[in-house]
Amino acid sequence: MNTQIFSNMAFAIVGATARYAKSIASPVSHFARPFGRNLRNPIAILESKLGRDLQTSENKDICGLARALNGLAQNQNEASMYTYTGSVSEPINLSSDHGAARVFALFGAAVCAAAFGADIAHAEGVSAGTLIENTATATYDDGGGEKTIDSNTVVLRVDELIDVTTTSLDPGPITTAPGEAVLTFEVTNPGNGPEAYQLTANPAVAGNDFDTVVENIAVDTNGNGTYDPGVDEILTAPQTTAVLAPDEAVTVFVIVTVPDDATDTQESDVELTADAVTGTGTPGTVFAGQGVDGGDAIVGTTGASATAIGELLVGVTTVDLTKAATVADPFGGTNAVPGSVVTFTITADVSGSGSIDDLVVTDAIPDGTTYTLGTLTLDGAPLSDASGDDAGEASDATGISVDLGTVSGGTSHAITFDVTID
Amino acid sequence: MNMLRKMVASLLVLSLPIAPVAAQVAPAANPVTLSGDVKAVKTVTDEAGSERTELVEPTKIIPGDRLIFGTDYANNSAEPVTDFVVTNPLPNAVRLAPDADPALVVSVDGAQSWGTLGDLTVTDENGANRAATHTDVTHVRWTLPSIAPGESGRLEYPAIIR
Repeated sequence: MNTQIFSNMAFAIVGATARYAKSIASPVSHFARPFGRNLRNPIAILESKLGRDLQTSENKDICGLARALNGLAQNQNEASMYTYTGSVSEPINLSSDHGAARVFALFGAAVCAAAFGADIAHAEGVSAGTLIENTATATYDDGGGEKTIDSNTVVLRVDELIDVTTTSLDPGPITTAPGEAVLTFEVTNPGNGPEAYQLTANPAVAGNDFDTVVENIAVDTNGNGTYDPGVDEILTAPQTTAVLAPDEAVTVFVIVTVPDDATDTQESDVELTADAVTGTGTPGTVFAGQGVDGGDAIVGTTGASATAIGELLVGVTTVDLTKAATVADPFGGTNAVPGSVVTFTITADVSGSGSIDDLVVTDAIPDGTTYTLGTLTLDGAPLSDASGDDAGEASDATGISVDLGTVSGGTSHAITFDVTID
Repeated sequence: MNMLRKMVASLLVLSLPIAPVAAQVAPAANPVTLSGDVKAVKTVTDEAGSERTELVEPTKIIPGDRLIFGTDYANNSAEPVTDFVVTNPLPNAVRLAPDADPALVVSVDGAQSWGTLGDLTVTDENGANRAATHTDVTHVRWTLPSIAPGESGRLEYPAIIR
């Protein structure tokens, strides 16, 4: 009899089961830049003042800008009138009375830059191709009254400065399980001319615990900062961004596969390098005639190549169940005899750096024993035997079942219940 | 100078259309000549490893580069000229270099009012006055009481491409 009981108990110990869904912390992927980088852009400054978008397709006209200025001036009880000619692609002429001038004065050079071809629009420098023209004028008296003469006009064309910056937009290491992971980067053109960049992702970075396999490089086509398969364009080789205007940035996703043999807490870096299509080199390298309007393109301080690192952290979470039994016989001893009460303790040890969702621990009532009603507990707290009213249920026929919900790595939970030996 | 006029002046200056590229040659009959030029300031490292600057033709210029705009003047007549005032609007794409002569007479409001930079203020976007800085300068001006017959000279200002 005793032997049989213990045999049953041994079976029961290995018979406890856990069902759960694995949960891995999702990558944080909110990269909204309400004004962010573009605040340096005078149009963006104006937008923030006016509270309206001047750069959407229906608003992307200088007339809208002028109307907006007019509205602002009227709001300030200033008599104002703008006249404007020209279109988006042409220089415009603005004339105004004093009220409008006051608006201009308020916004200063920023507005003028917006209105007059963005000569000083870019914090990183005037646009490539901009003409710098200098003329001096002299007045003098030669004894016959005041005379005026102009010097010749010297003209310089600003050459194209090629630069690039690459930044990881991930807030920290991306926690991932084996399988697909997405790293997010931003590539910015800090130069003063339009430039496209060739992208290279390198998964084999020194110091990696393991190397991933780069599957794709995609651009954030819909601009929401999150990789959307089927929506965000996957670049084909050679992976190259669209031409970015000065100060323009593009969000880039590197999609990698984490190998199955990666283990919990292992780390791996992925490098994304952006190289200017015009060329790279030491600062000062000249690509003659390859700049805007046939000017030269000159490599800036970044060497026209920039690399950023995205980090991956493997989070594999596991549950180990152990089951123990203590016996109390009716005579104050610990013998397993009919009438003895056996208390089972199932311990769920959760290990790893992630968490586990919907962990349910079940166990059967051993043959030759009877469940002692009302003895089911979780972490010392009693659970009812009925189903549906709390996390636990228990009966002779179906055994015990306890739903632990979401459990974090590093925690331990104990379930107890009693049976009586028949 | 009231503030409104300064603002209007600022608007007018900043909205000046770009002048034709063609050089304007002073009439031969004019007793005074003005000749403008521009050089780029490049830092070169010599064989000893020390750095020095030299003026070069500005064939390749990018934002941040330093330029020297110069104007040569000469009185080619037999008579002195007086009240000789040379005014030079700064191109929009450059700013006056921070190490420009502090005694240089400048305007920060489109040539409406003049002074040394330390004496001038501008109105910022919040409507408050602040001290003018080199980036605010719109014009530079030199005044010579007279130029003797046959006398010539050179006027320069340093600028940095924005």
